Amino acid sequence: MEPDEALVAAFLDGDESAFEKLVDRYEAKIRQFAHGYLRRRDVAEDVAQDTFLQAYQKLHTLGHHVAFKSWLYRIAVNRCHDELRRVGRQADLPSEEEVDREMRRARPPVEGERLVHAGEIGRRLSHSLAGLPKNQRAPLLLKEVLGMTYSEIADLLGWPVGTAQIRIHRARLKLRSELEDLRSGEQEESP
Amino acid sequence: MRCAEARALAAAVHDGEGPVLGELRDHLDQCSACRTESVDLEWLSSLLAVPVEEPDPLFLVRFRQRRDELRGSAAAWRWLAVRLVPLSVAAALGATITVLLGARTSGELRELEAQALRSGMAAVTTQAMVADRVLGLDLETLPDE
Repeated sequence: MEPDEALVAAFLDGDESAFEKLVDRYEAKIRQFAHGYLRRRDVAEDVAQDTFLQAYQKLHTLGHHVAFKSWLYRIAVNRCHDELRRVGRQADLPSEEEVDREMRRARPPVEGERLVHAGEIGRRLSHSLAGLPKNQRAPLLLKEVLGMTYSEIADLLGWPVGTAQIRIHRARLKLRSELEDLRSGEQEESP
Repeated sequence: MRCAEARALAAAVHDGEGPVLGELRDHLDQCSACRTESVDLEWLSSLLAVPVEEPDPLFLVRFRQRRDELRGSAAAWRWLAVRLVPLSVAAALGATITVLLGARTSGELRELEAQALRSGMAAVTTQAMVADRVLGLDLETLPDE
C-alpha cells in the first residue's frame, strides 16, 4: 500500500487519482466519526464529503512534517463542530423514529416499551453531547467511536497525552451525570 | 489502592491502555462505588458506539461530482474575472478622474468666493474711513469705556 506521503506528493504533482486513493482509504472512518459526532448518518455523509473537498482544495498548504491522516481528521473535527453549531442544540435533533432506527442498528433489537426508552436515551445523548465543550467532545468521540489511543488523539489535536486523557475523563463524567437517571431507569427494568 | 487511583486505572484499562493489575481487581471487588463507575464506563461506551462503516464505492462517485461542480464554478469565476477586471479598472479610473475634476472645479469656486469676500470687506472699510473723516472722529484717540 502506498504511504500517504507518496500519494500527497503525486497529487500535488497533478495526479488526481492519487487523491482519490486517499478518499478510498479514509472515507469509511471519516463517515463513522462524523456519525458518532452528529448522531445522524445522512448529515455525517455530507460532512464527510465536505471534509474531503476541503482537503482537496487545501492540500497544497499541508506542511512536510504534518501527517496527512492527522490533518484530515482535524478538518473532520472542525467540520463536525461547525455543523453542530449551525443546527444548534435544539434545532434539527434526530426524531424519535430516526433515533430508534439508529439504536436498533447499533444494538440488538429490544421489545415493547424498551424501544421507547431507547429513543429517549438517544435524544438525551445527542443533546448532552452537543452540550459538551468542543475540547471534550472531540477527544471523547475519537476515543469512543474510532478507538484511537490517547497518544494518537493527543498528536492529532496538538495536546500533551495527559491533557487528552483528562478531557476524555471529564467528558465522561459530565455525560454520566446528565444521563444518570436513564441509567437508573434501565437498571430498574432489568429482571 | 485509593479510589481516585483505582478509577484512573480502571478508565485506562477500559480504554485498552493499562494493564489489569491484581491490585485494581481486588479494589473493585471490595469497593462498590468504583465498581459502579467502572460498569458505567461500559454503559456509556455502548451508548456512544455507532456501527462500523464499511467502505462505500459510491462515496467516491459522489465526491467526484462535487469536486467537478466546484471546479466548474471556479472556472466560471475565472472567466468573469478575466472579462470584468479590465472594465472595473476603467470604471475606477473614471470615477477617480471625475472626483478630482469636481474637486478642482469647487476649488476654483472657493477661490472666487474668497476674492469677492476680500473685495467686499475692502469696500466696507473704505466707507467707514470716509464716514469717520466726515464726522470728525478719530478712532485712535477715543477713550476706552
